[in-house]
Amino acid sequence: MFAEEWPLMMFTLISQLAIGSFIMLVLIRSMLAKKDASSAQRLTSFGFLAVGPIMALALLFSLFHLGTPMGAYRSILNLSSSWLSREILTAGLFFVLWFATYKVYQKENAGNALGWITALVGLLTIFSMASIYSNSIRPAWSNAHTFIAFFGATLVLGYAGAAALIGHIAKGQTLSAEAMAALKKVGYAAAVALIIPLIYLPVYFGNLNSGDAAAQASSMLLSGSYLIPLVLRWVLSLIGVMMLINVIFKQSKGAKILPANSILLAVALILVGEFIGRYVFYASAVSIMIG
Amino acid sequence: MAQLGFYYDMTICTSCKVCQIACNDKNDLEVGTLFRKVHNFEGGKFPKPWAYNLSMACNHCAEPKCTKNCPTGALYKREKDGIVMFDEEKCIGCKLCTWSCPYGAPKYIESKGKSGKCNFCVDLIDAGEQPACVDACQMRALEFGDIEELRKKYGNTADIKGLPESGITHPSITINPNKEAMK
Repeated sequence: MFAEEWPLMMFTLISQLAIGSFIMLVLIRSMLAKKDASSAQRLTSFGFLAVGPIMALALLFSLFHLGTPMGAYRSILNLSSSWLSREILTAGLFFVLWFATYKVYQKENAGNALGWITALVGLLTIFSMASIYSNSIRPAWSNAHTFIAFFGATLVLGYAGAAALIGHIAKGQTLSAEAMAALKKVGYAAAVALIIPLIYLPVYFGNLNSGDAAAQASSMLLSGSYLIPLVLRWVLSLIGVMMLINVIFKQSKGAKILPANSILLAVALILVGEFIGRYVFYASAVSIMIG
Repeated sequence: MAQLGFYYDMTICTSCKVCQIACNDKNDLEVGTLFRKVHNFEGGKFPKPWAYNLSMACNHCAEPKCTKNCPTGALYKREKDGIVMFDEEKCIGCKLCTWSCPYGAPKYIESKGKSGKCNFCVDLIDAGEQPACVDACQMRALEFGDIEELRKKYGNTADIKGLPESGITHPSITINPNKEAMK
């Protein structure tokens, strides 16, 4: 499985990291815009710069999935019915809008509208991405679970990405109370984005168990061969997100300095958790087709 | 739009696989890639074992998922007879067709970096001949023609044990099944 699908695993994970980070940065910038405009710009500018190369890396990985990478431009020729065409178009549009946003946001007093438009296009990319899988003949994918998992991963990875990028630029600096409050709020959003897919897991298993033979085969894989990775994924993700929220919570009451090591450890746990989760997503999908 | 389709008579098929071989030869396929494949099913126990065969290629569905999902339009339905055509020039090897077809008809061909599939031997059909598999079948278990006429003649059975539900893509095939294969 890994040999076949690794470019798609990397593409989906890294593009969700890029889009999620962008959304979190726009949230933080918008929350701080009125109260603390200088922090808003100073803390997020490096992050806004980094999103572009991360997204470019994701798009580069997607080329490795293609048997004929030189034909990649033809992937947008069937927009009327193909979610893959729509995914590539919106991902490309996100990349273009990212550049415009990055340029505009170098000015401290620039409004947040462009950022929100770009974030919306990013969300459309994630929606198209999930729709590709939900339109397949693999019951483990053709399910609301795919949407919940992809949007959840986007926000959780985004929280990790934004924390790492802001942590990098704010190393050793004392942040304002407003900045810490904004970081706390996006942390709660990420916690919700993590918990919803976890709560949905029993429903997902229920759907698979009451489905056809291929659905039941997926359920057996998830509760058999892939049970340990699945548990590990949730343990790592939960510890990572809780750790990050806890660090920010403590610092907002205390020194208001982001401790680089704790943040990087928490971010690493989140990334590894999502990676294992995505591996299980690909590995457990069984097709309904004959031989 | 007329729709071409296949009729397959399971009750007389001997699983000699000459349809598969004729198809490989016609399409010059490498070892391991089959545009038509004879599947074998068996079960039961002594004294009542059973077995049946199922020869499957592209079913040129009325509502194919492959043409809908294909991002380049390399897969499309031919207007005049509903054949699901494949334009190799356009294909970029994204493999989404292999995730889309419940019958496993499109195959990814590693050496080409592109997919490939049964095109109903469209060149032969256009020249007034029969598809290679139909021509080759020594038991006359395979027929092709307007699917509505085939259904009138042989009934409309596309749901048998071992096949995914026909409601997903509305395949242009009708089968005369063994009793063990009936749903």
